[in-house]
Amino acid sequence: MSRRRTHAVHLADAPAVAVRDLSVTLDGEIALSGVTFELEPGRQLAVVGPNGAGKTTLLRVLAGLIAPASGDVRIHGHGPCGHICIAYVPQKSGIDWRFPVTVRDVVMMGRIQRIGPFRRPSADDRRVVHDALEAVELADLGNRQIEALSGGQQQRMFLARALAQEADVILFDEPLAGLDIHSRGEILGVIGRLRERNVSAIVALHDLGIAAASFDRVLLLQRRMIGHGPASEVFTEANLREAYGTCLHMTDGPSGPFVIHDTACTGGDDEPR
Amino acid sequence: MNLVELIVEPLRYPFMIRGIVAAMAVGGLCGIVGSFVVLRGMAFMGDAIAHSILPGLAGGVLVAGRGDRRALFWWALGTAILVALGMGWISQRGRVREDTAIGIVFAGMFALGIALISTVRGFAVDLVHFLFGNVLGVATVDLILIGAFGGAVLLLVLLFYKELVVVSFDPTLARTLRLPTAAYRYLLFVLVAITVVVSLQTVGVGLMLAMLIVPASTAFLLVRRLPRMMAIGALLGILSGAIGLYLSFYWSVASGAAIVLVSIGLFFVALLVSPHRGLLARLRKG
Repeated sequence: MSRRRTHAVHLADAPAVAVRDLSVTLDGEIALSGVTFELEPGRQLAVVGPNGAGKTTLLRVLAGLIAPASGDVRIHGHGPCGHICIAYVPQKSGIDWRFPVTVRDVVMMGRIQRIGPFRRPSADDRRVVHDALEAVELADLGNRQIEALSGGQQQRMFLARALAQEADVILFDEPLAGLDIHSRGEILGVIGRLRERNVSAIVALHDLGIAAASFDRVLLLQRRMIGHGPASEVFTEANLREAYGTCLHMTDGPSGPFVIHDTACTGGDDEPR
Repeated sequence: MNLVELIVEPLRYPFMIRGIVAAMAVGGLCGIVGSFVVLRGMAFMGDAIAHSILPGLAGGVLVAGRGDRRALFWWALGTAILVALGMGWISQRGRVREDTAIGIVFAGMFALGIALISTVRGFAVDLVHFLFGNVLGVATVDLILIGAFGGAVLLLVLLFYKELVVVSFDPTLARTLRLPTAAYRYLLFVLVAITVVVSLQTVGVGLMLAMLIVPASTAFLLVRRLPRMMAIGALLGILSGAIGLYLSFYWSVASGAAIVLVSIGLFFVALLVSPHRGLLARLRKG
């Protein structure tokens, strides 16, 4: 890809993401504690846990949007705030969808730090944006005003923006929420193909089945880290009971415990932002 | 009288020419800066900045005297920028809701201004001009100031266009791209403040808000891309300024009010015929 003006220099053999004993307080309350994990470049991690477990908080810390109370967060060897290679797609983006911008305009926004101040997008920038739109199969909707997109297309547009940003670490908060099965499949397909670009993805999810099937690692949260590793090791009955308590309905399936659903009792969404 | 005569007739008066030029310049500037005001929902803040200038003007009158227009302009500009920065600062603290904070500054400053101005003899005339504008009293020096500061605002919008758009559209993205979001927010507030000061003499404080939001929202109804919205907003502002002054000339209505009524009229036409968001389009879709 073109000019790389990543602010922090990436350490060659550092993991894409390294978190050590992280804890976060929001409004004086402990929102998250004891989180330790590493993610190699190109690997994909699903963050799961009930509502209010701290999934969004973790993503926001990794994005450098909130500071941890203690512990250490390294992205390619440096703290997150120096990076412009981290893309964060919030669940509720707070965007006014009537804003008079097209899909292509929004994807181009991912590049403005690389374009630099006082400059207009070059032919190179336009090509990167076009490639990003192709990668998420939105190329023919580039000129649409964003209000005209479906939920799945909106998520793919944000993914394209992350690609145009030339992000190495993409943080995705509940990209499948409210989507039909077809759109979910499309999004998961695009996220899966990030491996080819050696882009790491950390995705907050509700669906334990998808987390186990489509991701290299899972991280189970309930205000603290309950488990991290391959899904088969983390999604044990004991761990899941600890995370979800009585909200979880489990039966014995052919291959171990089988979760019926986890979103039955909700106390609202994650913390306010 | 034919159309040409109708158009040429007022131009025999130099004060009308100056007035029309000022109204058109201000209309164009407001259409562009107003696009950000409309899209970010900053209408109340714009209105508040306009009203909060009063104590600055009163201070100017007390210190420099009523006749020194340039001094009054600087007093107004200084006050507006201070108020804009102050409102930006308060709205970030989050002790009280943003609109409450703005309202307190707004009311406090306005009251302070009236208190100050009431100590000056003959303040009623000053107050009326401040509230409703006096575009026909525009002097050449005012035109120069409008041109210089309006031009500076346009230049800054052009230079920082893509950053201002990102900060307005998606602040979270702006932060993950490590843009200095707070600085751009303040820049935008200061641009609105300068626009308000420059436009003050044309429409006055009372109708300032209309110039900031009406041409831009009319354009918002008509097009779906921001650069076009700004261009059409500017065009509508210019048109409203010119037509308004002609109406004011022939029908002897207050000029500021005439300009605003024209722009509101254009808004309702757009509301009816807009291809995307208009009432007719909605009826046709059923």
